[in-house]
Amino acid sequence: MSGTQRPREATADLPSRLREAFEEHGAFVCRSLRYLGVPEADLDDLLQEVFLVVCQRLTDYEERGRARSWLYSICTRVAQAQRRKQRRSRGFGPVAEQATDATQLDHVQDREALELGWRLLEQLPEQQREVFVLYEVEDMPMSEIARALDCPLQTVYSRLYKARARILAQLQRLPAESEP
Amino acid sequence: MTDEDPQRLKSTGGTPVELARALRALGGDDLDAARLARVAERLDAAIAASGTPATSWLRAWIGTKVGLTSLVVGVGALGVLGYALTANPVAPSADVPAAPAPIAVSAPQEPARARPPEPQLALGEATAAPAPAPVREQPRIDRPAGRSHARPRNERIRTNHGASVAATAETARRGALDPGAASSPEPGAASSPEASAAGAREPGGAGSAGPKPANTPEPIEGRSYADEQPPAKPAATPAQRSEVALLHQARKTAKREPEAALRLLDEHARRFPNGVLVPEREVLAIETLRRLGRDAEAEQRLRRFEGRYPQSIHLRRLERAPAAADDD
Repeated sequence: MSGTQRPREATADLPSRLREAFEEHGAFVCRSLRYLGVPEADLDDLLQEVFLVVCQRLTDYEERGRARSWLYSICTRVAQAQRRKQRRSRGFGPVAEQATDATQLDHVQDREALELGWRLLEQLPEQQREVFVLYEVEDMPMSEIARALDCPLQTVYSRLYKARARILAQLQRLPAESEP
Repeated sequence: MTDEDPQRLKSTGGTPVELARALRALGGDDLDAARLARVAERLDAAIAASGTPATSWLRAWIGTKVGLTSLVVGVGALGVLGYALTANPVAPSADVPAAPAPIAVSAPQEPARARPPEPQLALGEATAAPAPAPVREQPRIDRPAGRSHARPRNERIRTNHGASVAATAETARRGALDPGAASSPEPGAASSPEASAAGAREPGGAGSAGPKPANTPEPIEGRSYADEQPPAKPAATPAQRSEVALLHQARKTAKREPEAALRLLDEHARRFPNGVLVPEREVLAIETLRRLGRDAEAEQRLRRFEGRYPQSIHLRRLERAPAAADDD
C-alpha cells in the first residue's frame, strides 16, 4: 500500500513548508527538547507538539525568518507545559543519561565526547545551560538567543560567561576520570 | 554589539580538546531516522485530522455547509410531510412500493429495528436524498498513495462530525414523523451504528424514489464517510509501523550481533523495497558491514547509496566513518 513511497516522502504529506521546517530543524528541535530536560519517553510526543504549533503559525515562521530562535521558544513553552502537566521535577541527570544511550553516534570517541558533553551540561543551572548550548553547540548568534529566550542581550552575555566559567572549572576537575 | 559575538569555544585555540569535541558531539547528535519517520507520520495524521491542508479543509467546510442545508431542508420537508401524514393517513401507503425496496435491495444487513415506521422514513429520506455520490468520492480516490496512512484518522474525525449532523437530521425527521420511532434505533448512539445504518439506507432510498431527488447532498455525506471508515482505518499504518520497528530492531542488534542485524536488514529490503526508511537501512547496513570487516561489500553498497541519494545527509557521516570504525 505504501510501497510506492519514496524515502523523501516520509514527510511528503505535511504541507510543504511544514515539511521543510521539519526536515531542516527536526533534529534541532529534538536536541533542544532534550536540553530542556524532556525525557526520552516523551520526546516523540513533544516533538510532534512543537511542529503542530509550527503548523498553526506557519505565517509567523515565514515572516520572522529566524526559524531557530522561534522554534526554541516554542520548545520551551511546550516543555514547560508538559512539566506542569506531569508535575515532574526537573531531573536533568536521567535525561542526559538517556540521551547518551539513545545516540546514533556509533563510534567510541564520539560517544565518549557526547557523554562528557552531557555530563558538563548537567552541572549548569538551567538558564545558563540553555544559553550555553544555543551559543556553543547550536551556533546561534547572541541576538537570536536573546530573542528566543525573550530576555535582554546583556543577560544572555552574562549567562554565557558564567556558564563558560563553570564548564571550564568543571573540566579541570574531571580529567582524572575522563581522560583516555 | 549584536554582530560582535564572542568567539565560540569550539573554534578557540585555548579550549581544551575534549571540550571542543564534546560540544561538537552534542550538536552532531542526529535525530534518529526511526524517530523522524514516526513523528512525521503522526504529524501528518494529526494535521490531516485538524483539516489544515487546503483540500480537507475545503471538504470539511463543504461538509458542514451541506449538512446544515440539508438539515434545514430536511426539517422543512418533514413539516410538509408530517402535515400530509396527519391530514391524510392514507398518503404514506401511496409510497409503500418505494419503501421496502431500500431495505431489500441496498441494505439487507441492516437490522429491522432501525426503521419501524418504514413508509414514513422512506418518504422522509427520499425527500432529502440526492444522488451524486461519485462527486465526493472522486477527490479521495485521486489522492496519492502516500496520503493513505493519514486518511483513516482524518476520515474518522470527519465521519463523526458528518454522522452527527446526519444523525441529528434523521432524529429530527423521525421525531417529526413518529415520536415512537425516535427511540427505537438506540438513541445516543450517534456515531457509527446509526450512521452506517443511515448510510446504508440512503442510496437505496434515493434510487427507489427516483423522481423525488433534490439538490441536497446530505445523506451522501453520511453514507460515504460511514461506509469508508471501517476498511480505511487499518490500511497503511501497521505496515509503516512494522517497517520502523524492523529497522529499530536491527539498529539495536547491530552492535552486539552484526550478523543478525544484517539479516534483519535483508528482511527489511525484501519487505519494504520502497519503504520510507530505505536510506536509513542502507546506512546501517554499510556501517554494520564495516564493523564486520567486510569493507569491499560496504564500499560497494556505499557507491550504490551515493548513486541513489547523492544529496543524502548521511553521506557525510558515512564518508568519515571508515577511519573511526577501525578504532572500534
